Amino acid sequence: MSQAYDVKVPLASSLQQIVGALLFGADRPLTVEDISSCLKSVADTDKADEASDVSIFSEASPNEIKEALGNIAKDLSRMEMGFELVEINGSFRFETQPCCGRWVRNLLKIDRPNRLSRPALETLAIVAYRQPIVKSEIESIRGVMVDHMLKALMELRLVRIIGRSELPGRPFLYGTTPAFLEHFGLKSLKDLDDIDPTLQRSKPSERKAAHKKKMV
Amino acid sequence: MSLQTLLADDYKVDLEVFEGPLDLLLYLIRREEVDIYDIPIETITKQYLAYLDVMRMLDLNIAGEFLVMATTLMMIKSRMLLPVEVRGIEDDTDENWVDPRLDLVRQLIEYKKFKDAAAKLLEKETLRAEAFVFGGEKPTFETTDADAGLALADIGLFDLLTAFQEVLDRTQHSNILEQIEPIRWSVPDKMEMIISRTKGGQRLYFSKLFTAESHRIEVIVTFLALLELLRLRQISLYQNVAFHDILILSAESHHETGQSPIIGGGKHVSSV
Repeated sequence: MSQAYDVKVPLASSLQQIVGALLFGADRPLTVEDISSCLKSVADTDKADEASDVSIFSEASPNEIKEALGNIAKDLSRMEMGFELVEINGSFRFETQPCCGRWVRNLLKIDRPNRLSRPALETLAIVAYRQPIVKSEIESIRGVMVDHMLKALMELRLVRIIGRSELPGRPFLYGTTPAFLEHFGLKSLKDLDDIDPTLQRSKPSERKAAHKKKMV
Repeated sequence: MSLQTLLADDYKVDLEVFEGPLDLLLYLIRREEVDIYDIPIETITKQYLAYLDVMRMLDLNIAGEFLVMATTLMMIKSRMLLPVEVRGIEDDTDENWVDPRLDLVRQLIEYKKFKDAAAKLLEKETLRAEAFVFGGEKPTFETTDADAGLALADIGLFDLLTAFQEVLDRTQHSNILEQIEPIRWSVPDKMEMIISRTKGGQRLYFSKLFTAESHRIEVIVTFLALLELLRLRQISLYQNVAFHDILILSAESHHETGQSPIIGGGKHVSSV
């Protein structure tokens, strides 16, 4: 190897730059842990050369990474770039802004996606707020049978069986899936409380106690 | 889908109604502008039963829950009529007298909250559908054509039934002893009529489908044709103001109206 080919690539000067590059280059949404482990891995493998330069970033704490993410989000919205940083289910990625949707849709020839019907949304809302929940509870809230609806929601992978209840007959307990968060663009189930805190999910044990009271 | 292929099918409108008795009650409460905490049980019961009659007349598959609710309403009504035992002291304990409506009101309020939450989820879903990642990829639902029809279960079924009921009230009440009429109307014929009257973006109002002279059977057949077209997604329905006349447009032209249809319209994950 001759010296002439040894060209040095300039290194990133800020954590924000690296985080931005990772998000842009990734083919999937990234979690804070993904970013953190990447930073560490680079510092380990590249120890031989420029060790001092890359190791600074390997020590970035989750909070520092979150701060970098926050700054990227702020900068993007300030610059009106038409895309933004989105957090869904604990993962971050760049997405085009909804206000530009019609143009992107036209360019890429994408049809409007199917929407859920109102009864489906209602059933889903009940499952989301009250999970883990048995079918009979959903039915008593909605006042109609929900077999068909639950089956359809499960086929769409928005709802799944997450266990068995201790109630007689050991009925299935239902809950939402990661795809549910994805479909509605929620950071986590906690986002549901912003919609209506009074529907808040209470702890399963509390709910069980409440049930017993009702039955007496 | 051409009309010919539609006509090849055997006609039986069989709509699965996913809206339940609670939806109907909330609808009535909203329409009558009554206080949910102080429901005039007599009026609401009467109207509720009237809706059941309409649904029965249309041969809609009335779920058992509707009948259960009907008995609940009548039970509450009768309990409201019972004299309240008045104790000497203003002793407002629950043991003395519990408003018979209490359980129902609680259920309605809880359900309404979930309905509101569902509306917020719809907002999020709509926004979400407008965002794309690099390359435009997007996780989407898969739907099969087989279940692409039940958008009627979305919202507005009761609006439609209201409109239907109004028209029915205006038509002459056929005497039961009247001679049996030959069958002069068919669902396919009426479907064809609606399609031709909405062709090329023509605006057709629900109220204009019928005249005061329309025969009851004709009204029912026309209504069934409308439901069938909705199910087949050939038309969309719009309503500018709640409880007003309903506009019928052919499904292709609904994009230009700038309104969102109350029924039909955009693709829905059908049976869901």
